[in-house]
Amino acid sequence: MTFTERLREESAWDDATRHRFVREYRNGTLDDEVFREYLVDDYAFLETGARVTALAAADAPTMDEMARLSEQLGVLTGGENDYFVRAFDELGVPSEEYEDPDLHPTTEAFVDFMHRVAREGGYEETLASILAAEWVYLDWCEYAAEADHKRWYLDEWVELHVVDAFCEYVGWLRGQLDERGPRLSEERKERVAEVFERTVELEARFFDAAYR
Amino acid sequence: MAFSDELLDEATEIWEAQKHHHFVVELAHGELDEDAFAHWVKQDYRYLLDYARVFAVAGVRARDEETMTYLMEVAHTILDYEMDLHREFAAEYGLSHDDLEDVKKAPTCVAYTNFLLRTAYEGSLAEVSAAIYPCGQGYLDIARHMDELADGDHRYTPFIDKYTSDEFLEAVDWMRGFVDDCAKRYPGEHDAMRDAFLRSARLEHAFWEMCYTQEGWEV
Repeated sequence: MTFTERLREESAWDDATRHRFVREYRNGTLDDEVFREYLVDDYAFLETGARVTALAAADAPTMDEMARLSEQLGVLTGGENDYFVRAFDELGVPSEEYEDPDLHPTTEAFVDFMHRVAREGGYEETLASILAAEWVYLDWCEYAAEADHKRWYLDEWVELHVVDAFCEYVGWLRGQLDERGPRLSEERKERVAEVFERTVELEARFFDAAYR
Repeated sequence: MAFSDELLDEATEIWEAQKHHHFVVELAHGELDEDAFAHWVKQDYRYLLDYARVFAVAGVRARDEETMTYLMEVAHTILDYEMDLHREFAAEYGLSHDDLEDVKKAPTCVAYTNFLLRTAYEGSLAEVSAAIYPCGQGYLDIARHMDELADGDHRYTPFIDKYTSDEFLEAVDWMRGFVDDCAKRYPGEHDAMRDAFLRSARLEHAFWEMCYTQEGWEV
């Protein structure tokens, strides 16, 4: 078992990736209102993803990793944004609601968690939280993508997270930790595992929050 | 009106909710479940260590010597004195040093401390002053309220005494002064200070709830 397979194994993976939200998404019964709540908070979370990726790039051991992470930073601050604007328009979310959202406490806790890890942890800890978040997306979206949703914003959202470029990025993140994880001290291995586990848990709570 | 008073005015509802919380009322009457109280002792121990970190990080970021000195002093006092005091306090309720070291932060404690640390790293010093203030002022006000509710001594009287002491009042006075000073020096930061203050105040309320329900991790 590789380092990242073990991380996944020891986390509450299915709680996040097969959450009620995911099951309803897949069978086409997901309420628009729930998706709307989810998307508003996810949009706020995008900024955190970008900032944390920037912090990981700053901590990266060499220019090679910096290059890969800054390429991803370009994706996070570019492409997805357009989807959000179109989807919010379709779902009738006014811009002031998504630009200045009243975030759910769970989302706030998640955002603060990621930022603190990136500030206090090393490169591997930061990558563990990024990997957990991205990998959860890849997994649940691959599962949900099997369905035909008849709602373009649902289709497109999962497609964004199953495209080759995204799979490749998750693979790259895993490769980084598979290579570097086993070399860490026992204490840091534990910390990395804890960060990964906590992120997966927060992903599950993030889905819960959409049903507020 | 001092800016700290403006903040407290805005948080009236949150303060009232704290005063009426079951944990607070039952503690005041000496009727609080012992396990709920033990949960507070343990989680607060973990909180305190991060609270020291917040002051240390803020101290590094402060620009003037006086503020640096104070913030570093608080961090040092927590580590050098308050932690011991908390361990002694815990021992009176049958919790050993090992018990405290084994504690894992509950979700609300994680959320609160992560918010504080993130603010310490990324926010302005003014925001930090507002974020750390509800903990001090809240405990002072809530403990005074408990003291009014209490009818004679009971097993939780030491808790009430601790947070109504002159020593604690002095610490809170400094925090209040720090908030007012920052509000004067950085008028552009008022909105951010308000947000940070209200967020911490809500998390203070959530902390009582966490202890009362003995919140842990679901998985």
